Formats: sequence, structure tokens, C-alpha cells
Amino acid sequence: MEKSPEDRPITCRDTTWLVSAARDGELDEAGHAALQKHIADCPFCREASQQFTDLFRSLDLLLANDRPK
Amino acid sequence: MARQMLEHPASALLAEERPFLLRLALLQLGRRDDAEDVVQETLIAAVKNWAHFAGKAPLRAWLTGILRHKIVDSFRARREHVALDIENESDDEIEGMFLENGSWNPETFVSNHCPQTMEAQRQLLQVVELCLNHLRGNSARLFLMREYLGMELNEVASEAEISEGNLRVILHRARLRLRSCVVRGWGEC
Repeated sequence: MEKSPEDRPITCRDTTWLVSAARDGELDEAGHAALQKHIADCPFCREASQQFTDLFRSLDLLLANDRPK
Repeated sequence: MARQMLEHPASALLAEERPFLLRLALLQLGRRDDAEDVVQETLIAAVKNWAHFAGKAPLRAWLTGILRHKIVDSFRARREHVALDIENESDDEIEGMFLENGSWNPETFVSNHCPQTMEAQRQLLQVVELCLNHLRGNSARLFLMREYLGMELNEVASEAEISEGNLRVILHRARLRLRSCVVRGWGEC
């Protein structure tokens, strides 16, 4: 049986959309779960995810952001 | 007021921060005269409220917070929407980050990590600022409306007269470009 689109594994490119959505506070639970599952299995995305985290922290510091996104 | 600013004990400190504030305002507002105005208002407000500052936060962070309010006021005063031309942005840089199957391209993936020393962290902020300045004009403005001014997605989309879907694409691209630029810079810290 063919998998539905929701069941197909997400790609690394997809994860960057999820990271961006998360930054905007728009990622739902299923999205978070899909992102974490992919990151757990993908060393590139694990690294990119940490880089995004560091980038966003620096950005908040630079722009004096202290409010939740 | 200009004389009061020049004679203020913190005038030298404030003058040091002016170029950063001006670059940030210019990125956000896109017009030099508007940017000069909000920065001037920010520095005047800083002088007036200097007693409240008292070094509780880094000076740049305090000024950046004041500037944020001045920019929002400027937007409101203009009462005009700025339709942005975003259709012709090339995706070559972003396409090069990924293979056809959606995986990261190992040939272009940069593995540098954020350095942890205090000096490196200071340099890191400079790298982020430099990279912000490399975002394309219209993308940078929308990106900062969201990231700096804290406007909601629907507000930014309405201001720019674009759909929220288009805005998400622009923010996604801007974040990818920023990450790509910054991680290369981390290698230099």
C-alpha cells in the first residue's frame, strides 16, 4: 500500500521549513515530532538545527529581543 | 537639543553606537532620511532617559530597544503600505544548498559551529550584523519587521501587500541565507 503524503519521511529541505515555522511559533505538535524524528536520524540536519539555534540566539541578542516569538 | 546631546557625559558612548543604529534603521526603513530621523530621535530619547538606563543592560541593547519603538512610530506615521517587488529574486544560492532529493548537498554544507569564548561571541554578533546587511533590501525589511519589530505574520503581509504564504517563503529564504552566511563567518571567529 502506498504511503499517504503525511506518512512519507520528510526531507532535509522540509526540515528547514519546519525550523522557520517554529521560529514564527507556527509549528504544531505533529510538525515538531516530524522535525525531531528527522533530526535524530540525520547528522546534517542535527548540525544545521544547532546552527539555526545559535543563529537565532545571536539574532535575539543583536536585536535586543526578549519576547517570545 | 543637539547642543544638549553634544554636552551630555555619554555623548561619546552614544556616538559610538550611532553607526550600528543607522545601519539597522536603514535596513528596516529603506530610506536614508527616515533612518537618520529615527536614529536622531532614539539618541535624543536616550539622553533624556539616561538616568533610567544606569547600565542595567548593554548600551547597544538599550538603544536598539528604543530604536524599535521609534521605527514602529515611523511606520504608523507614514500610514502608507509599501508594495514590495519580490518576484524576481534568484534562488540559485538556496538551490545549491540541497540535492534534487531534498537532502543537504554535502559539497556546499558548512559544518562550522558557533564559537563559545566571550571574544568569539562578540565577533559572532558582528558576523550576524554583517550577514544581515547582505540580505536583499526587500527581504531584509520584511525579515526585520518580523524578527526585530516583532510584528505578526498577517501584519507584515498586510503592510507589504503580499500573501502570508509569500511572506513565509521570504522568511524561510532569508533564514537559510542568513544561516549560510553566518556559519561561514563562524569559521573566521
